[in-house]
Amino acid sequence: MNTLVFEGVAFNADLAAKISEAQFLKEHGHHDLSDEQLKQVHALAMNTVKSAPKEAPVKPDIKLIKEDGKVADEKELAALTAKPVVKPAEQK
Amino acid sequence: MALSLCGSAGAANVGELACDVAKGVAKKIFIFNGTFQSSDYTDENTFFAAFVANALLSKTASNKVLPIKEIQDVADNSEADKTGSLGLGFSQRLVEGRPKYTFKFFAGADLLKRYRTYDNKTVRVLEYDANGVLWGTKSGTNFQGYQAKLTFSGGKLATGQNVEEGVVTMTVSILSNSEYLNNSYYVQIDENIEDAISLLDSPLAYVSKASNVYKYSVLIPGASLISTYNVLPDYGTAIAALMANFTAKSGASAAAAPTGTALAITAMAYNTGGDGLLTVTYDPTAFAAAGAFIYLAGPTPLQLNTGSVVGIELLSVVHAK
Repeated sequence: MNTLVFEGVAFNADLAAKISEAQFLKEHGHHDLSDEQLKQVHALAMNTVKSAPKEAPVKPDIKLIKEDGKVADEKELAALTAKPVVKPAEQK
Repeated sequence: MALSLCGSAGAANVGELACDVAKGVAKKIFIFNGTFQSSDYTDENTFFAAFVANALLSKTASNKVLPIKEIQDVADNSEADKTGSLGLGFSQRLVEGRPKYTFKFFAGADLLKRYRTYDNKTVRVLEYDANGVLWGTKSGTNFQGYQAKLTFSGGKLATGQNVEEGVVTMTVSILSNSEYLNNSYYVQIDENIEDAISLLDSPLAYVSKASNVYKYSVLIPGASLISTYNVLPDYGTAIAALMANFTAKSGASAAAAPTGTALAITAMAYNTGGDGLLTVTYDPTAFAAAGAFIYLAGPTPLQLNTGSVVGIELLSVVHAK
């Protein structure tokens, strides 16, 4: 969890970044912070989460062994597992 | 040539190593019911790091080290050996006495109450002497404390004849000579033994709520009738900054809440509106779906220590939503 501490108030930046500024103001208006400060916190939360390093996408562990016994490389595998392109029916 | 079975009966050679270590004057006792595995004592620094880290475990952890205050007076009250004799003067030990010590140290009414929770309890203890050596025993390759029964007494009116005010007496009765006399092991501690600190129980307690915004207190219970010690003025802001280490859950019953559904915390602050309490804001969506009871647990003592909140263990709370 990314935590933002602003004027002694700790915020869950991940959750704050998921909601709109208006929603954030509504949910956190009870703290001793002005609307301007809360807007600043929300903007900081958005930037914190945006700049946080994202985890690399997990590649599915798929291996295709072809009829000739050779293992298909990534390119071939991608071609085989790609969704078939459905052409729109011709208009009559 | 002498005819002897001694060698095959387990007798050892009796040579002596230079600088052999013997137990010095008692300085501290540690209650320790766990074990240090061989990987914890590969060298002295590794051992000391593990020892200090274990003092920062929760009191519910099996490897918790509980330091008792520095000893100010020590008396050896070991039971004397029982002997028997024959009519013509032969005397022999019949039963070997077991070690027992009486230690005195300073503790007020608060601390005495905490020590008394160990009164008449059988635990394991490590001894630390004035030469900087820590003593215990081994089971297999695990280093552990000696089995001992403890008693704590004190809290009586002073007579004005001796140093008595705030003096607490602890007795340590060793249960096993096999552990204590035959299988003692030591480790030299060159660092500051006081790095292994004692913690204070600091329970989180529900105070009030306004929809998904809850207020909690952290008061150390003690012997004072009028006021319990409030931790938050000292550490409230630092505790709030450790929000990521808090865990909140909810469940249909108080018993189910600690293992219930996770409840996200969106914000935490100390002294909102000048009330001197910890304000915890739960995620509105998760809160709406939460069960009837909420469980809130704070950071571990180690996490608190890292966050500059020293000497306390935050105890969890379960309360109605």
